[in-house]
Amino acid sequence: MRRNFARVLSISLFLVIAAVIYFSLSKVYPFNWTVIARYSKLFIDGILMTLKISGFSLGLSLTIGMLVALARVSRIDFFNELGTLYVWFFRNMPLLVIILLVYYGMGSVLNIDRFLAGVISLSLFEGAYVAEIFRAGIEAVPPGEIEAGAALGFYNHQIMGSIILPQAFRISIPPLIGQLISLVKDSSLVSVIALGDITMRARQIGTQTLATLEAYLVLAGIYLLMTSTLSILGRYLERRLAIP
Amino acid sequence: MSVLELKNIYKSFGDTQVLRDVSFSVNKGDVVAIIGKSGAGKTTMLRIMNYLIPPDSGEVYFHNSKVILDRKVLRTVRSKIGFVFQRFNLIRHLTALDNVAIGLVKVKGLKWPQARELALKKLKEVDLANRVNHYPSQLSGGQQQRVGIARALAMEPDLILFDEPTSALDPSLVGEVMTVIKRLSASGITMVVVTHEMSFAKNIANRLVYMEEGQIIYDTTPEQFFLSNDKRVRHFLNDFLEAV
Ligand SMILES: Nc1ncnc2c1ncn2[C@@H]1O[C@H](COP(=O)(O)OP(=O)(O)OP(=O)(O)O)[C@@H](O)[C@H]1O
Ligand SMILES: [Mg+2]
Repeated sequence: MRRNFARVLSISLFLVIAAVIYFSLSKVYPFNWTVIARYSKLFIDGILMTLKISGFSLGLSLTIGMLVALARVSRIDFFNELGTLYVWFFRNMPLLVIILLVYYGMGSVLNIDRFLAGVISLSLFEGAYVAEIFRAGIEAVPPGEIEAGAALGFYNHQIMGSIILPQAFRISIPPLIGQLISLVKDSSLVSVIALGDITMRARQIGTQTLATLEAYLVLAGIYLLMTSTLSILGRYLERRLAIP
Repeated sequence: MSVLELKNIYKSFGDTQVLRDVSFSVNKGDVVAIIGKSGAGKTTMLRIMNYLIPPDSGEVYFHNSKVILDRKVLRTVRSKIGFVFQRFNLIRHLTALDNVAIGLVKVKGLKWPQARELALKKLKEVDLANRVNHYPSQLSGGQQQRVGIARALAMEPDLILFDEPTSALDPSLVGEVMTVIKRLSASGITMVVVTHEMSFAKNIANRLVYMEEGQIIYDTTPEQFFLSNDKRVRHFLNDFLEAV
């Protein structure tokens, strides 16, 4: 499986490089890479901003996701419904609309800055998906183990803390990694509020240099690199934390 | 001296009445075997004893004081009643040692090092000194069940309830678990064992409870039971012999 994946990856990388070289030399399209290279600092700024947004949003969306998941499995109806409402709303709303609402709505009322608006929008959105991942993880814990805790005299919060959550968390890691990759990709949308992330920088460089396609090809490569790195890290983490 | 007493217990699940007016008392030092056909209500009765499920009506008394649905009361009562499950119900992400130690930490308030020391002693008592760092998935069914017994023992309970402790096991592994249970019964621990092991019911138990359709039909000595001319008992024993 993994060997196949590596082969497909190397073949496609080879094809992409070959295509770029072919089109650069054949003058079908007047590629201009040298001008792009001069803007590498701006690209790096963009990468750092994307990572910073994604990092903060990851932390916040995990927190939101955990709280909403706990609400959804709670025995208190009110919390239950609140959690359901949250997931319903944010899974049925385009991220772009959330960003615009938060930035122009909360932004003008609470006077929050672009960065915060971007992080909050992404976290609210991804938090709904994270919540569903955690909920599935919680529900996958065998009822017998919960009963064993109860029979020993555990309080409910101890069953949650020592039996359910440690397992739910491990069960959730593979889908969470997938969600994190989505988060990094989705973060490109914050460029609409001119938050200098990598997508915005690429567009900027494209307009300034007129080497638009070149800038976007670099952008695509950067996203692929970031997301594949996360996949590899995720697989490592998954193996490290696996229960024998 | 009554350790645990059920008074006029009724329990239904939906439309099916599972227990009908069950009264039963366990005295200190008793080794009670509960037998009866599948669906007779044996597991339900056992689970009502430590209030894992509350009865619809009737009372449970532990050391002559009434058990009520109160988290502190349930914690105290359950911490003094061991429960050994048919399917072991070990906590998957903990080693054998920590499965035994965790109750001491979470319920009795011991520190982990002391709890582990005690847990090690209990694992030795069930002949598992060489498996302490194994995870449940790395243990055979018989070994898992012995960890389950050590987990119950570690709490130093006044009473241990066993729900068909060997019926999920490979026939070849029944012996090692029965050996441990017999050893416990000889040491004077009060216990109630739902079982299909007739040799245990006959030779080890000092009391025999026979259930049918949610009622206790006999509560007597094994000698009297196995000599009984009651048609229902003969039927049960004949069916049983045929099944074996
Ligand atoms: N949680 C539940 N919900 C609905 N019905 C239940 C539940 N638990 C038990 N029952 C039903 O109650 C009846 C008695 O079940 P119980 O498990 O007490 O029987 P048992 O004597 O332990 O049988 P076995 O020998 O098969 O373990 C059965 O008909 C069973 O289907
Ligand atoms: Mg049963």
